[in-house]
Amino acid sequence: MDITLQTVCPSFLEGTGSEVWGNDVHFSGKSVVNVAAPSGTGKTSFISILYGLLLEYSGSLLFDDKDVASLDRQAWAQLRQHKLALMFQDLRLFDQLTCLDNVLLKVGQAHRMSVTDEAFIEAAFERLGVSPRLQALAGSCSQGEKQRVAFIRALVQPFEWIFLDEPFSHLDEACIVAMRDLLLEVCDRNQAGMIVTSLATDRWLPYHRQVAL
Amino acid sequence: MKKILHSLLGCRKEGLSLVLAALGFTLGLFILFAAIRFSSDVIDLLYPEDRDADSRYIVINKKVSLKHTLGFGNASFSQDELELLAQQACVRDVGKIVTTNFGVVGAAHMGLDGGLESELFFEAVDDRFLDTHPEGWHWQEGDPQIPGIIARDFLLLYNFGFASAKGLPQLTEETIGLLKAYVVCAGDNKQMSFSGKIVGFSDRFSTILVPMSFMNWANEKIGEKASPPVSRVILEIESGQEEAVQRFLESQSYQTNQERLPVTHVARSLQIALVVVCVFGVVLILVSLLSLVLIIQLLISHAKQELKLLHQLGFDDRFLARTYVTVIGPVIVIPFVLAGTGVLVAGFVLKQMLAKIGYAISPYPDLLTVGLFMVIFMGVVVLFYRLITRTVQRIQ
Repeated sequence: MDITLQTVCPSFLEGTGSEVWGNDVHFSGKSVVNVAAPSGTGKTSFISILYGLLLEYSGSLLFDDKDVASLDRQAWAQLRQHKLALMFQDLRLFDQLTCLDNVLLKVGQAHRMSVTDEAFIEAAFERLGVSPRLQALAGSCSQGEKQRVAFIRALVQPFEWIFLDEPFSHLDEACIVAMRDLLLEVCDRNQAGMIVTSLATDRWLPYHRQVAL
Repeated sequence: MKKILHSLLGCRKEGLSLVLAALGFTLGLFILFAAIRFSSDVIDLLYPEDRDADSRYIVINKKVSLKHTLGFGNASFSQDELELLAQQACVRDVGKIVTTNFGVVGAAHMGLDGGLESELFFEAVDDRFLDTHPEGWHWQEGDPQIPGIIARDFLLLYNFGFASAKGLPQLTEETIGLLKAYVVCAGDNKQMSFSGKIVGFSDRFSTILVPMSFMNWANEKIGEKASPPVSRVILEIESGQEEAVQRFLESQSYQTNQERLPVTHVARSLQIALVVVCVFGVVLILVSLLSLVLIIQLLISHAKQELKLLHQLGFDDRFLARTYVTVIGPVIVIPFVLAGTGVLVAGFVLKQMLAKIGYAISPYPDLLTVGLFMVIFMGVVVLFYRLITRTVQRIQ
């Protein structure tokens, strides 16, 4: 699935102008894209527009050749189940659920839980060093642990594009490497593209393209 | 995943209030439908003879006063008076009750040694006024046997007043047909014997009825004089016009020997009581439905943040609404099942109880009750489905 932005600009950034805002930008499917920009320039807004959470903007956004303005809540829900995955910058876990349930909730929405899913989730928790927290309430976890759980939650669904909003901030190198390897494996398996935002230009992933906001 | 969603959306939080509202709903439904279902039975029991009829019959006569006792005139109806009766809007039909102009003596043999013999009286009325049309109810000139219809009360009178005192066998409606009775009709100059057979029973007439064909023939051939004047008249009256009839009868100083008219007051009070019960049921239903609506809105608005995030994660509104439907659904459906079963069971129990005291009602509810039940069921289900879907959708 290709993503095309035609002179897209959120209302509160009107008139600023950048490589993305107010310009035509095209991401072909399976690209690995890094969006690097300082705080306050609209990284999260950019991701929110792509994921359909922010709808107040000028210009148009196209998935393949289809304008997303024609999509209703129902259609966005379908996209988020099968084609678009997102790791929120503020993580957005359900504090009252266990880490495992937070992830299971996401698996169960697209299809019935399978043995492969179970094995994948356990392995992912293991590889990212959070397996002791499987049954702990998300609310009781540290920021770093939550970050990894939110990351796993984004990976478990089928997707063609995954958006990660500053996924590696505040984590140590070993942890970032483990996350990167897992991410590349899953994207390769899904034949999916990814858009990763960061404060400064990110060197952890084999980016095809660097975009500045 | 359903479990996770249920705990996330707080579906178990309002458990107690949901159960209480469901209880109220069940009770309201039961009261309403029991009242609707049994109202027709109550009316039937009050007017056993007019089941499904839109008209009723009463027998009237003139008040017998001292002057009649002293032999000045008799309490009979003139032709003008009969016509006036027929002209009344509340009266559909007027039938003369014809009596004999000769004497009748009847004798019956019971068992080996017992028997009775008594002076009798015959009356006749047009067949269209009869509440029963039994087999064998016809007579033509030359028939040696006269069919008779007697008041059902007479059988009771005989069985419980007479037979037990005299040591005679008690009779049922079936075995009385086997009784051999002899009737001697004696006019001034002529006497004839017939056999008699009781073919049916009437709740409408407190007399012994013979076919009109026999009455006309016998009055002419045996009595050999003018028919006696009509002193009793049967009226077919419009249902619901009892009060108008009552007023007219009072204005003309006519009497009715039947307890039918006073019953209307009982019926009216009972109908009012039924309406009150129905209203109570409806109020109970409305209050419990209202509290269900409020509980559902409370549940959904409590889980507003969770619903928002679930939507962001890709859960669609219909799926989320369905989660609530699976929780609320039983609270709506179970009261209908319980109330429906309750009314059905009550029907069977009541049938058994009433059968013991001699009343028969159908154990099954009528079509109107079932139809209304289904309509309300569908209505409530659709209403709540849409309420839940809309409330979930409204959370952006």
